[in-house]
Amino acid sequence: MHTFYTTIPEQTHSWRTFDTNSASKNVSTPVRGDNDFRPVFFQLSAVSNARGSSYLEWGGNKILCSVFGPRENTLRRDEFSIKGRLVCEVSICPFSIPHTPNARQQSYIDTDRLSALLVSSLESSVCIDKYPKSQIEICLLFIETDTLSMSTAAVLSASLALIDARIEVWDITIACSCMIRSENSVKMDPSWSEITDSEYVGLLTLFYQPSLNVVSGVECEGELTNLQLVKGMDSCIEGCLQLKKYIEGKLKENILKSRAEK
Amino acid sequence: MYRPVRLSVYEREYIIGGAEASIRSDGRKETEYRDFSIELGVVSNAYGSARVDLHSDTTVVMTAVKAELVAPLDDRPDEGKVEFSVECSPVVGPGFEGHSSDFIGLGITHLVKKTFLTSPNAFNTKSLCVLSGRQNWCLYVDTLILQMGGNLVDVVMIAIRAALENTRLPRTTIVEEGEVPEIEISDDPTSQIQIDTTGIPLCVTLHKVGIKVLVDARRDEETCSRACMHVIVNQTGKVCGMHMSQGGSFTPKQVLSGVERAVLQSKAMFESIREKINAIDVHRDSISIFLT
Repeated sequence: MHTFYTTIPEQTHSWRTFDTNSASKNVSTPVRGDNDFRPVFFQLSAVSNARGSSYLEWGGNKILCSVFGPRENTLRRDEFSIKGRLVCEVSICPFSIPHTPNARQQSYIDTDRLSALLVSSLESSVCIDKYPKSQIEICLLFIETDTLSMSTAAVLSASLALIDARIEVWDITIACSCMIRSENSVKMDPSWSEITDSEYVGLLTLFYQPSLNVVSGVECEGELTNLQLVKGMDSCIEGCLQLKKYIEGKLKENILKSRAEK
Repeated sequence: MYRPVRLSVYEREYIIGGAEASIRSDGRKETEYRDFSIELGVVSNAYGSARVDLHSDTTVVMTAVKAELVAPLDDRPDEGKVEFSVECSPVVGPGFEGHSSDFIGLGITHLVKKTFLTSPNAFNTKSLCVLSGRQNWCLYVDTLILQMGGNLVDVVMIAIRAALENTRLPRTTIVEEGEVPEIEISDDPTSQIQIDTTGIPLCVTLHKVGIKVLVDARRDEETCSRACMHVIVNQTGKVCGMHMSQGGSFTPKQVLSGVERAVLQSKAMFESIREKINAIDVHRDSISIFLT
């Protein structure tokens, strides 16, 4: 079973505040099982100027995402399309990565690639036919990131912001990644420091729409046999379903809370 | 990584309906690949080059490999470098002039770069070591798209593999005279080093047209496709990269059966590349015997 550790930022403190003698003390982080996700926290309507927005903390990622529109599209005349379109802009704070990224990390923090990935994986879930001749803008800001799980966290925060903006969607797109080890075992939601595992064979990231049961994007790395790929996909889908359950619960809670306040 | 063509409603219906009834407009089956031809050594200034031509509805791609001795990175003293770039030339057709064609090249460049960066056995950069910590080979693999007839990514990967197989680096010797060792590059054309290309993967692109999944789509089929998946497979049949573009979606079952099909397809492609390059080599040997 997948477990989530949920914390609220207001209640958490950096371990450094309790650390009196860091040299003698071993900083203990909660041991995470292979099926456990890193803590997920999110909040909706974090940006007051946007039509919809979300703030997401997942593992080492802190993302602020806002959705603008639907508004008139900025296409040139010869590129006219009757369908609506999604536009995505990803920006990364210069202080979001603790050290200079190596070549492999550089490929993850490529903002062009990330925004193309976001558009292609979200496009099939948004009812773009209902917004003719207009565009919906998704802007993402990475405040903190651990580079490896950027795309998964970005997709989740973008779909939450879309929900907050009341844009009509077929389904919520949920992303989940897993690391595959040489003896076909799987570790869910790995962080950058965890993929240096000596038995690391590959990494699979799946963008999944649970209610429709379709895969809207897949990224794969390393060298995987067919069997490992099947196994990775199964566990990614299961992980996405679990995440969906958690997110749905939290969204319901949010609505009830705002109703009670009214 | 593709550019739509203008199609009327009826043409669209014809292509989608045909695909669903397992009839493609050029008579191929769903899993059938177009035949391609390879020419080697087409660029005289490069260390290795290839031109790949996908038949009937032609896609033409040219790749050239240049090499240079550069200082390695501090943390990897005995590894060389490989730099990839894919460019789409405006000669492809109307609508490709200016910046509009840049996106196509950039998308494919990202895909190729990421594949070689993340799969450990794709390219043995240690084989490019000349003098550890001082000077190693850096290969610049530049690809130019000359004609567009669909299935671009697959053809680019074939061209990269063929060009690297054609690449011959000059033999180097290290002369230890005095305190600083020097590198001597031989200019003898008969003693050259071939680089190891066994790990270089190929890509198989699958398009979802109607309810069917097609392999090796033509441009009009690409325009009708709702989703597209690139599966990158190496010679041992392992998947070393997957990517979806174009915004559609596949069911999990379609993804898995697509991967299976891609692995099978790539096996045939590796063989046919091997055969074609061997045929060229045999031909060249016979010419050189004739000349001597």
